This record gives sequence, structure tokens and C-alpha cells, in this order.
Amino acid sequence: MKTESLEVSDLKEKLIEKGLLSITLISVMMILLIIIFLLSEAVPAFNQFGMIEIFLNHQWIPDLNLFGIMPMFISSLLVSFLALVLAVPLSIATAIYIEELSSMKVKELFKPVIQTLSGIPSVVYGFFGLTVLVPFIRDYVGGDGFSILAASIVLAIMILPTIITLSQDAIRNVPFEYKQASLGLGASHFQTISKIIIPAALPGILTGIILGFGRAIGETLAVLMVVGNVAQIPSSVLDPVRTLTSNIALEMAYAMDIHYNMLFVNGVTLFAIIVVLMALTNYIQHKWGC
Amino acid sequence: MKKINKYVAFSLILCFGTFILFQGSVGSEEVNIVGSTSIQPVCEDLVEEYRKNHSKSEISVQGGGSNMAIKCVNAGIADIGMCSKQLNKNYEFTEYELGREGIVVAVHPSNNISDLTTSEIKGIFDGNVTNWNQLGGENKPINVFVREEGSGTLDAFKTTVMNKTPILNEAIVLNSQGSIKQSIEQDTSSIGIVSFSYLDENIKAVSVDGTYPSEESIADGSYMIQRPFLLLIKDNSTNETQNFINWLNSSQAKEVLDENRIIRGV
Repeated sequence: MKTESLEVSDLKEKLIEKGLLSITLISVMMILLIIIFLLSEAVPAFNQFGMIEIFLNHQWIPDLNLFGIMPMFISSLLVSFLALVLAVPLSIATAIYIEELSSMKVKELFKPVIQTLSGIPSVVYGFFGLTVLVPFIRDYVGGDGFSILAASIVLAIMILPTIITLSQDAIRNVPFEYKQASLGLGASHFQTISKIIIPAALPGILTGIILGFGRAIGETLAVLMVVGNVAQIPSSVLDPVRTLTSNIALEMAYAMDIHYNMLFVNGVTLFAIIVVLMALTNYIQHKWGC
Repeated sequence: MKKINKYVAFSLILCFGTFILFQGSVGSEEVNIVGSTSIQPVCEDLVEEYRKNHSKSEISVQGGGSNMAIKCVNAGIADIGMCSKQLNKNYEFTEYELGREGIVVAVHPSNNISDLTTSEIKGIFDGNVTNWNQLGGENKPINVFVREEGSGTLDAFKTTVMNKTPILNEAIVLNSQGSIKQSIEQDTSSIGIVSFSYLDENIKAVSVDGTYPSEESIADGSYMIQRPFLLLIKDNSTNETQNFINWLNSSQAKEVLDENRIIRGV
């Protein structure tokens, strides 16, 4: 009697295990299918133009069958990088303030504010950029207003919550003993923060920065609305450019034949960038742990 | 025993659900309308009005672009396609002209230029004319706003004005009529192309070769920058589809078209 019920429960365990496994496999399969789909649609373009032509040609004029994605590639990286330059100091300073200096009350106040920032739909950010930022840049900074700068500012605001939250977690996870020891040795609060807490939290902060970069490079709609979408290699931050994502979003609906396949090459490039970023985060976490 | 009951109940619910699903898809004939995002809002208004008198009919309207319309109607996925450019090949479907839409070359209201020739417009959009003073305006560089490659608005503009010359590379590309209009409003040295239906006092339309875009000049074809709004209908379409198409000639439908500032050709 007893052994039988054991067997039954054994079977149950097995069933649950296999069930969970198959559900996990579904999500893995989905990613695989997406990769296969992306690649199979991109292959005709690779065959027709070749890697060198696609990645080194600096002109994207579908009407004339010129499909070089270099301008978009460079612009995507530039826009995201500038967004990081704007967002990282702000985010780290905010995280340090909230975790180390602010009172409980202030902390409670800031938490929902930052959460709201990440919950706002990207079209709202884009609209803000189009109606406020673009005219402001045109009138007070120069150029058309539609520019790398406008897109970077919008993106910087959008990735703030990601970097702040992850930096906060990293700072919170620094063992309390470190802080105690540092203060005990006579270091000031500022010295403790800059010499002990920041270095100890660095892997976590870096992870946040890389994830923020990933979000920035993948953001489409808000960027599309303010970046001007001119497929060119920029010479200043006030130049309008076109990013990889906005190129896909703009032209997908109307693209046919090889133009359509080229947009998938765009997608594959984006995918590759994200994979590299993910590998980087994994490496950081593996090396230093956090 | 209890367990068995649960299983029975569960499978009954499943069967019932499937039954309802299939019942739904067999019971009514749904009409799918797919295509150009410029015609989509007009079509949605039309369908809404149509359903006031034909509450049983199921009609869905989806965007996706003019090319999508051709693809879907050809493949039999959609019953009606919305196409906002002239077809240049012969396909196996009927075309129904819903109306025409004018495309307006618009500038900031403060701009003193109000009349341009076709070749001047072409010069601006292909990059040969870069400053307003070349056309007798103020000394300001021209900022050009266009829709993305392949959109119906830009396509019609290119065929009627540009004559296969590519649009200048520096033109700012935006993905909706709304954002183009917004940008023209905000920028005093702007020029851009928008639908006639977007024209209001915040932007200024220029006359093209002396003809100001108006309902009359678009209807009689004297204002040349315009495009057709076509419905593509499968040759062996269902009754539901035919009823809808027939209804489009009614006065109710005409009212909706007028509200949307779609101009019926003469």
C-alpha cells in the first residue's frame, strides 16, 4: 500500500517535471524560430549584395537599389552611446542619493516616481520630444531640431529607470560590514561611498548600464519621431540620422522583394548587437558576480 | 470519483468552447478590409455608418499599406483592399474609386511665398533650391519634410511632381501626416507635403502653377497633385461584400466621405 502511493507520487513528480520542461522548451523554441525566420529572410539579401557591400556602403536609397546599412549602424550606436553619456551620471548619482543619503520618507517618495518613468509608453516620450525638445533645439541650439541630440535626450530619460533600479540593487547588496569597516577606520561618508561602495557595486552598475544601452538601441517609436530619419553618416550631434530600428519601422509596410529582405538584414544586425550586449552582461556577472 | 467529474466537466467546457468558436466563424460572413493607412480612417467611418442599418454584418478594417492590399486581395485573404495609388499593372480584381485626395504642399503661415510652379517645387524637393531667397522669400535655408519611402502620399507626389528624380537626401522623414503637419507648424522655414484633409489655418498651402488646392480644383483635376482612393474587390466576392460596395453609392456614404474631405471625381 505504502510503496504504491510512493510510486504514484513519483509518477506525479515526473509528470510535473516533464511538463515544466516542455513549457520551458516552448520559449526556447520561440527564440530559435525567430532566429531562423530572421536569417532565412535575410539570406537573399546577403547573397545578392554580399557582406562587404551591405556593411560598408554608406548610401541607403531603395529607389536606386542602394542598400548600405552603415549609416544606420553608426547612427544607432551613436544615439545610444550619447544617451548613456547623459543618463549614466544622472542615474548613478540618483541611486547613490536614494540608497545612501536620503531618509526613508524621501525614498518612499522617489520609488513610485522612478517606476512611473519606466511605465510611460514610448509614444508619449516621442510626442514630448517632437513638441517640446525638437523646437527647443531648433531655436536655442541650432540645426533642424530633428537630431541625434533630441533622440539621445529622449532615450536618456527612457533608460534612467533601468540604470537607476539596477544600480540601487547593486549598492544595496554591498555587504554592510564593508561600510562599517570603512567608517570604523575613520573614513568619511563620502570617502566610503567613492572608495568602497561604488567599486563594490560596480559589476551591478555595469550590468545596468549595458541593459540600458540595449533598451536604447532597441527603442523604435520615440526615436522615430524625433531623429529626423535621414539616412546619412552624421558629422555633428545636431544632424538628423536614421537608426536601425526606425529604418525597419518606417519602410516595412511598403517594402517589397530585395528591399524587404534588406530590412531583415537590419533586424539581424540589431539582433547581433543585442546578443553581444547579453554576452557582455553574462561575462561581467560571471567574472565578478553580483 | 470527484476527479473524474472534474475531467468530464473540463472536457465538456472545452467542447462547448470549440463549438462556439466554429459556430461563430461559420454563422456570419465576415468582410475583411485591409490596406492603406490613409484610407483606413475613412473606411472605418464608412463601416460604422453602414453598421447602423446593417447591424448583423461583420466588417473588420485593418491597416498595412497599399502593397499589402494588393497582396492580400490577390491571395484571397482580404475581401476588399484599400489602395491609395494608381495601379500600374492589370490584376484580377475590380477597382472601385472611393474618391480622390489632394496632396498639399504646405509652408509655415508666416512664409511670404504663396505660389510656386511645379519646377520650383521639384527644385526644392530634389535639393537644387536650398534657400527661400532663391524663390523671392527671406534668407533662410529650406527645411524639407516628407513621408517615408513608399508611402502613398509620397508616391503620388513623386509621380505627379518629381518625375522620377529622387527626393533630396537631407529631407527629414516622418512616418505620419500628423507629425509632418506638427513640424511645419513649428518651423518657420519649413515646407512639406500633407493630405488635403490635414489642411487648416495652422499651415499654409501654396498654389501650384497658379491653382490653389480646393475641393473644386481637385475634383476637376486642375490641381494636379492628387491620388485616387481605390477599393480593390475580388472578382467572385461574397454577397456581404457586394452589399457594402453598393451601399457606398448611397447618400449616407457620401456624407461620410464629405466629412472626411474625400473628393469625388467628376
